[in-house]
Amino acid sequence: MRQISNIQLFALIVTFEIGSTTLFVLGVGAKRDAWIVVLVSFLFSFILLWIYTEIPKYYPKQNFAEILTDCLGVILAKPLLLLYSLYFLGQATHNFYEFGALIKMTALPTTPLTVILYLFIVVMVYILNKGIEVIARSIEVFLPFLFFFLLAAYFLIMISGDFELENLLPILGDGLQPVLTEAPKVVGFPFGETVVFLVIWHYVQKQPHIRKTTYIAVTVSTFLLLIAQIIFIAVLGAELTATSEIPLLEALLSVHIAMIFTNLDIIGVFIMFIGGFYKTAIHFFAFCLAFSWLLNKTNPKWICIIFGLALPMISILRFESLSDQRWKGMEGNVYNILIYAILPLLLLLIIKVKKKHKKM
Amino acid sequence: MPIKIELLKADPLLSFLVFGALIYVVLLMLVLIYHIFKGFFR
Repeated sequence: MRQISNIQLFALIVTFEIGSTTLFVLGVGAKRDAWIVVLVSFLFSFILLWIYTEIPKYYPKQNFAEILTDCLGVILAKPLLLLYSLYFLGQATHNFYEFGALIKMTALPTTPLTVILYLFIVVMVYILNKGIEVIARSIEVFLPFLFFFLLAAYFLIMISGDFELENLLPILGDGLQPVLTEAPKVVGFPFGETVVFLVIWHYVQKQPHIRKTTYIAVTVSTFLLLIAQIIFIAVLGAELTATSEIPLLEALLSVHIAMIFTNLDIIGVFIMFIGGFYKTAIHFFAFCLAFSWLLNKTNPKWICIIFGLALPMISILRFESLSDQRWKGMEGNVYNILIYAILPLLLLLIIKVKKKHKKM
Repeated sequence: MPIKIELLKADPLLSFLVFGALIYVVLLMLVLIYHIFKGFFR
């Protein structure tokens, strides 16, 4: 079987978590305290990650379909697998449309969105057909560049002169209420989205290290997100950050250092492209795997090609515009709590009760 | 948080996922209760 190393799993999770999140100011409803929302959500996300990483401990090297079938029986497992595969497809359409629209807005304004999406998907289907190893290895190659560009962007923004930490004050000026109101949204996006790794755990070589790797990866990505939040608010201010469509680009465009470091939006486009591509690829790969298990197939190649060609059309039909996509994404993610939190928790409880009775 | 009907109307996939997940939450709770009682009365 194809396998990925724990370092590759780390790269997958970090790229997935950073993915589209650098484009938003998460928890912006809490205004200047948005970064505290991320911090609080990160703490809550540890419970979710514990649930996700506890399941493979009982079924090492078994895929999600086998786990569901063993735990619930075929009759209950198949519709649940369909539900999860549609959830992954839905998330893939969100990422796919968003990045297509952002690339069109920033880099290719005169190219039709359909063309951008089809160029995107051809590469994606090719790489997904090569299997999880190739996706993981390519992410391993790109991750240092992603880190470098992110940190370089943050550094240049910080020294550009517009960086004012006073914009973050007073901390918790409106109390804890706005932070706690916004936290469920941020727990759902991006932390809850790691539920997608339930269908990928069985590829990991060293199964006992899954939890440790996941926690480290999520901590690293949260650290980068926190820096991003603080920088956006410090440079743009809470109001402008909240209304800005792509705060990263706005902040990068404010950089003018000695007339050398200017027009750095290309760094933003690179970060968007790498993050968006892999986030969509992982969601779409998870959909292809789950759907192929549903049809009792072992190779998701044809499903990947057929649905890959349909994905741009599905995305365009589902969303009218970028604001429509963001509305459906941000509001809808709260309802997805059933899929990313409640169902895995119930599944884990059933597994634990069943295993306990077997031991007795 | 109250469910926003206009959001569910605007996004059929989301409404399918929400209602499907709700049904499954109930089903899995029943399965869990069944297994707990099965072990209890064994």
